[in-house]
Amino acid sequence: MTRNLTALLMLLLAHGAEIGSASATELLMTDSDFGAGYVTLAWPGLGGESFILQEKGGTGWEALYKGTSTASTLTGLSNGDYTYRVISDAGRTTEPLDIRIHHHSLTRAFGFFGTGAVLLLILLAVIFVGVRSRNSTV
Amino acid sequence: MEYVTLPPGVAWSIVAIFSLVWLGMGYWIGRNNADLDDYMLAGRKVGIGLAVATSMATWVTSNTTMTAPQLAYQLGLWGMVGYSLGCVGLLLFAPLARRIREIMPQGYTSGDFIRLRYGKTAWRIFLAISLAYSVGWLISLGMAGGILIEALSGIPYIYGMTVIIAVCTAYTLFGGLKAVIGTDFVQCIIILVGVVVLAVMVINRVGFEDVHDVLMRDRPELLNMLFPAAIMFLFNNLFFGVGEVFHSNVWWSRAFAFAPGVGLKAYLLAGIFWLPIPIVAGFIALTAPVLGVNVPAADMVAPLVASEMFGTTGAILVFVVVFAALASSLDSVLAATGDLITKDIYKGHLRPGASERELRIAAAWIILGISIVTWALSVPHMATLGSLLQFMGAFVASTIWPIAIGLLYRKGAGRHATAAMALGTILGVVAYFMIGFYVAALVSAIVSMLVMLPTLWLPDTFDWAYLQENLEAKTRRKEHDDLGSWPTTPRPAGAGAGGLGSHSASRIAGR
Repeated sequence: MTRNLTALLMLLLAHGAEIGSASATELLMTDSDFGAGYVTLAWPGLGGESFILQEKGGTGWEALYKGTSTASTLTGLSNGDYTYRVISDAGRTTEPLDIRIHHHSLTRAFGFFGTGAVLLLILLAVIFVGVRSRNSTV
Repeated sequence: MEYVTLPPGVAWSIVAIFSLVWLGMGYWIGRNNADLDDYMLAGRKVGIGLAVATSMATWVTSNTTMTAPQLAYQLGLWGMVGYSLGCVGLLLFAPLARRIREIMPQGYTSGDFIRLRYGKTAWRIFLAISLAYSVGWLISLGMAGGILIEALSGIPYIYGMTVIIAVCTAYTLFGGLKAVIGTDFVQCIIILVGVVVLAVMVINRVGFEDVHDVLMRDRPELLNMLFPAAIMFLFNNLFFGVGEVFHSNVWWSRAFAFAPGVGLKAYLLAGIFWLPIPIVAGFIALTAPVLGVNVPAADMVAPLVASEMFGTTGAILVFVVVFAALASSLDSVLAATGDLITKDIYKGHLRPGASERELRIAAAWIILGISIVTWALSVPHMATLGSLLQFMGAFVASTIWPIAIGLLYRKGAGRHATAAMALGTILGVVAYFMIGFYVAALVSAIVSMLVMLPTLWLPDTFDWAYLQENLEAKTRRKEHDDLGSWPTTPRPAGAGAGGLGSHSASRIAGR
């Protein structure tokens, strides 16, 4: 719920103002859905010309991205806990950011899928019967 | 920007060349517009070729070419397939388009039908939903223009967005729906050819095996056939598309504009031709991890991948295709929203006695006003294209059942339609925030169905002749405007511009 209220906030406020008010060493989430396995990380105020986005793995920090962008979108993440940070060529490092990906349950997913399938069949029937009825009386 | 491939001068040149082409076409096509029917409905005689082209081109929006890749990048294979289910809206609207032409041959807007079929309360709720959707769609189109130009050339977002909105507004103002449909035909050809060429280039450059291997290693969920959010997205996007097409005056205005007998075939063919386009666009996005392309925002994935993969030539091709898709939709939504506001708000609420000449002038000012509002709301770049679009799903999906049942059955009164739309929208919005964007439209459609479907077991209450009675009054009003006096020859009872068949008259209840 908190994530989705944040999405509402994004719809109502200027994107730049939100980012501008954050701490320079803070790693931000500017778009995310942990139930769908994706997150957009941003580091607009870190300072520097190039950056390395790192993920904490079993053997230490692993580089995911090296370049001049100040944001990156990670998608297709499986369930689990992830920790990220960014290092700039100016020698600055963001605070580590922890996220937890937890996909929706398959029960819920198939519940919606099954409901959608039934809804479509009903709509097809309503249109088919209605068109035939109208054609037979014209 | 890391992947600037098009020099700004080249980007501006492309914009300038195509802008001049669209403006020239708009002026030349629209120069013979004689009356409101010509301006708003292209004279009500569009043939099958133009009808298919305009339907397909209008449905290939910047969302198809940029949001479909975004959703593929976020939700994987099912995101790509789910987006292509948007074709179902066109396919299911095909028989309804024929029905609309039959029962309201002199109609102008979807609002006309809702007002006559369900009454003023339902009409006002429908207008609120339709306008909210139209504004949302326009903003997404404006944003897409700015994002595209910035991603490919580095030109600041606000400049690209402003120019595209200005150009599309100008030729829509000049030529009305005729210009919109005429330019759609050319834009449709550009889109189809461009997408085929891009698909061949992508497959030659990046093989399916590389895509599979890299995604399995780094983004496994994108290939997961049991990706929960993506499964939930499938029917949500289907019903979002159905709701968009069923309610939007973009499609109703075409149903009124097409020649008799054209609508059914046009919408069926348009849906079939449209289906592969989001699949191709989505596949482009899935190559981003293979190419090592960093994506700062998910809705930028398509132009970034194109510029990385194809260099300047490919970037030009993508630019031209997406610009054509943008223009073909932006002009349609501007024109249709302008029609809706002109007829249903300006004439319906503010100036009921407005003459045709006054309405034509008002339509032009309203289109200009809409474009200014769109520009202003596009400036802050508030959200990604996908999240903005899917938010609208909660609104439009609630109109599916009132529209379908209202067109085909004489059952269901205004209070049912009002409740269906209001409750569907509210609960769809709740679902959007409580669960996610990928269920909002589906929840809205479910709630709307639960209210409207039981009316099929109620007695027939609506008389189709009521639609003709009110349009009869409009026709006599038009004659008054044209002649300067009221016509003296009485009209035969039940006469109208098109036949209704032999429906037996019955009392109208609950109006």
